[in-house]
Amino acid sequence: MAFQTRKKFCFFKENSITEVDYKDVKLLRRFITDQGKIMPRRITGTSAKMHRKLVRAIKQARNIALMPYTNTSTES
Amino acid sequence: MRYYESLYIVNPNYEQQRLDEVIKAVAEKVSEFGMSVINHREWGKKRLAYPIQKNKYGSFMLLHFETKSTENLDQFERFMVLQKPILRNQTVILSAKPEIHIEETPAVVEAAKEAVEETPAVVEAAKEAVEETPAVVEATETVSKEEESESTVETDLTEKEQE
Repeated sequence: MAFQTRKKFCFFKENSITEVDYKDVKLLRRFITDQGKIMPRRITGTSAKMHRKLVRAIKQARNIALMPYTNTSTES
Repeated sequence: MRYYESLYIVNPNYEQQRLDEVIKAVAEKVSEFGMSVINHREWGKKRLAYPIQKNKYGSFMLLHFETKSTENLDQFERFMVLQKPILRNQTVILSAKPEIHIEETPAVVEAAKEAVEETPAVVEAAKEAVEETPAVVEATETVSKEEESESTVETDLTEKEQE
């Protein structure tokens, strides 16, 4: 029985998205952990080009309080 | 021409009148700096991801503007920071001209609904629905008749028992 690895793919390439909007929090939430950290490219499979845009968008969203910098369990 | 988008958070405890005043003040300042407003609207009251000045919520305002020179952008930023009602602001450059936002008034929504109703597919679906109803009506009629007959039998039985 062979161990099958799931093929990683770029979410943005699959959905033909070329620009990442920092206001689209629903989309950005897919790429952060429960703690609010940005997930690495080796896990999400995002292409390098789109990952750079994604990181920028997440950081902009954090600045304007649309997304958390950290998400600790103590927060009410 | 360069296009910019500015998203700013206004104190959530402000009522509509004071919000309008803030919007007006910002719009005046933008035009004073030689920038032209494309869109300026409320983006809604949202829960903040982290508290800002002990506020859990914030009224988000979205401003699109265009300008030829970048000279006054620093001054605009300075003005926004100094405003007390504005908790946070962020201006980003846009790669393309933003679409002009048209607010959906009730009349527009109704017109859209009517347009949808007029499409042939919907009309056909409605016709089919109408055609289906007679069969259902017949079925219900037969059921009611049966019930009636049963009830008459029961009444006969009860009468006999009474005798």
